[in-house]
Amino acid sequence: MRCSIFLVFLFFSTSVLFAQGEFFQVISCKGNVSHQLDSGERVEVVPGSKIEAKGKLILSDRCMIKLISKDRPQKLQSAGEYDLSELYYAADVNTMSFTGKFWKYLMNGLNNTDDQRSIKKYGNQSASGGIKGYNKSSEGKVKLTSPIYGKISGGNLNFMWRNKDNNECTFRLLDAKRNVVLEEKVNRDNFEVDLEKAEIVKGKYYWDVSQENEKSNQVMFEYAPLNFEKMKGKLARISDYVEGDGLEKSWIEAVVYEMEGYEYEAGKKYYNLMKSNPKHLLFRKLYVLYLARIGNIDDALKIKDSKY
Amino acid sequence: MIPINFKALNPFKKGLSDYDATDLVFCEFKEKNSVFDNRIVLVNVGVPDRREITELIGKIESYGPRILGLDIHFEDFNKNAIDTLLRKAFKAHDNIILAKRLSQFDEDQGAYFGLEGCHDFFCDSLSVAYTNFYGSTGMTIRKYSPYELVNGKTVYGLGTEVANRYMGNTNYLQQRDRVESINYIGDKDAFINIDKEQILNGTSDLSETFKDKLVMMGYLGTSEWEDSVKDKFVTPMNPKVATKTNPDMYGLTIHANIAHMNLEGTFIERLSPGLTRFINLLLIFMMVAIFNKVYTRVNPGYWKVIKVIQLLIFALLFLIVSFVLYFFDLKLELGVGILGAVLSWDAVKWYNNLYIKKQSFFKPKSS
Repeated sequence: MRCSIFLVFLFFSTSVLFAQGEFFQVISCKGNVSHQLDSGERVEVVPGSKIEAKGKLILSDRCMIKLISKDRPQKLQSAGEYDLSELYYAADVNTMSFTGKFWKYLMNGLNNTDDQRSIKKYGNQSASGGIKGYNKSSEGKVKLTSPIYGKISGGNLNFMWRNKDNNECTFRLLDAKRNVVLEEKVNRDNFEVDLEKAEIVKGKYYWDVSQENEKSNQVMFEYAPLNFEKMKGKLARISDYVEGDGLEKSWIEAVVYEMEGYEYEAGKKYYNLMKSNPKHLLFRKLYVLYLARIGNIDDALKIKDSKY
Repeated sequence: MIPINFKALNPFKKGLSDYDATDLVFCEFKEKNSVFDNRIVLVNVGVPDRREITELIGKIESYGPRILGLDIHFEDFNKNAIDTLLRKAFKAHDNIILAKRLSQFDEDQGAYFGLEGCHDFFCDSLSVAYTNFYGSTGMTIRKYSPYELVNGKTVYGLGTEVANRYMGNTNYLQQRDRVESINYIGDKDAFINIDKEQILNGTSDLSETFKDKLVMMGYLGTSEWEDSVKDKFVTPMNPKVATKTNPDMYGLTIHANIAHMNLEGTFIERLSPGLTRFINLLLIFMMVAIFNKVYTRVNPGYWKVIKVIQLLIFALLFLIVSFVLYFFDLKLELGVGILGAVLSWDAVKWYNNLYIKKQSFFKPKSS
């Protein structure tokens, strides 16, 4: 008798102990998600909170929650009530061992050899994370639109900024040491400079525009005349370029220019592609993504939302 | 002359040049997001507006995070009220780390001489860290540099800096490698993640989300910009092992993976170059010996046996490399050995056919 009482006690105490460790961690959630306890009380669920695997999880319309328990992430996105203990045990599925995964992969066919890369081959750390923080409200300030940055190959360069009322503006071109190279007063939103005629030498330059009480940022660009023969050779090595039609060629050119750092030229090509094919969604998307990449989010959103 | 068309190989050229066998461990064998770090919170600022960032900092700081790292560059100073308020928000808290970029790389000296991407108006006298990874645009991000000497001053990478400050570790272990492999655990769902709208517009108490946490703010895409490739990179977790084309992970998540690795101390170790060379050499020597034995002993049909052995050795080496990385976080660089498994048989055949047979041809016959 004593023994049976002891066993029952042991069973209950271990169940309680195990149940204590049963919980979910909320990875992220959107919308109105709440946890209804057994007592009927409702607690709002926020990212990072721990919820016990008891009671119900209530999701309203357009809600989503990502949970993790026992190293198994789960995502719920349909409105309704979910029993948490059921969810907890549903996560308890067997995962394949390393050996199983390895042989499965090997059997699926492994044909390639390895090519371990040394640090030197990676070159310097030219890839960098982070995103540019910008000012949404640009009132009271001259906003420069093009060229924003990058290399410029030469020819006529059209500097553009926002000037809806065509007020008088002063355009300035400065060299790397911030000495003024060119200064002009204009009543429009652009100023064209022929870099060769203006006898601009290779190197880094800054440009800005000021109005009566307002001044733009200074934007840097690099005048780096392009070796067109080299570029042609580079393009000729791309088989898709050689075989492509006019549109494909322009697209590839735009990509290659952008990869080489000639953002301004690439932008012109993306823009021309979109302009010459106004009904083509792909070219619109390409231009919008290009604008987003160079940080011109305002124009990107405007073009994205405009009718076509 | 017979024209040979190699066009069919072109698509693989780029893919294979950026191929690493150990990528398989991350994309096929390791369970993505099965490790969850609830100490790190990622805040998605979407398209980052400085006014909203100022508000976000105020709200997040009110919940008491231990560290707040921003993967956002404030390059321009616009001389307006918003910028002044933003700077005020930065200065009001001593747990904020701002982002910069390494620049002006001198190839001769192998060092950087500049940090850019944050205007002095914001970054002056504040903690900064750089957001660079090893690799150029489009290449797989496998490695990062924990710290760099810029003009004689040590500057840390964002992931390293936030983790060190979180742990209160002011002296980073400088005896560690200058280049570390990233031990990825998953994408943004390996960490707590929250959108800016939930912080700015929500009425919930987010103390549980932020209190005493390592918070990192940056871009994780937005619903409107789902396809945006901005600040998105290719990583070994990409579902395509070779010929990776679509970026799969936002920069902020890569920094979070680095921070997790630093917090846990789960660095990927490597053998010394000397030992690696020795093991590779030993492998090649063993393979040559085995192939030579089979070639001279098994006849006819030796080539079938050799092909089977080659395949087995290749699979075995690959298993060892993956196994060691999977279980011990040790990266064995057996690329030369694996190449040896492929090429050594031809070397043995040439040696036997050209050298040995030639020698026996010129040998005087004993009568």
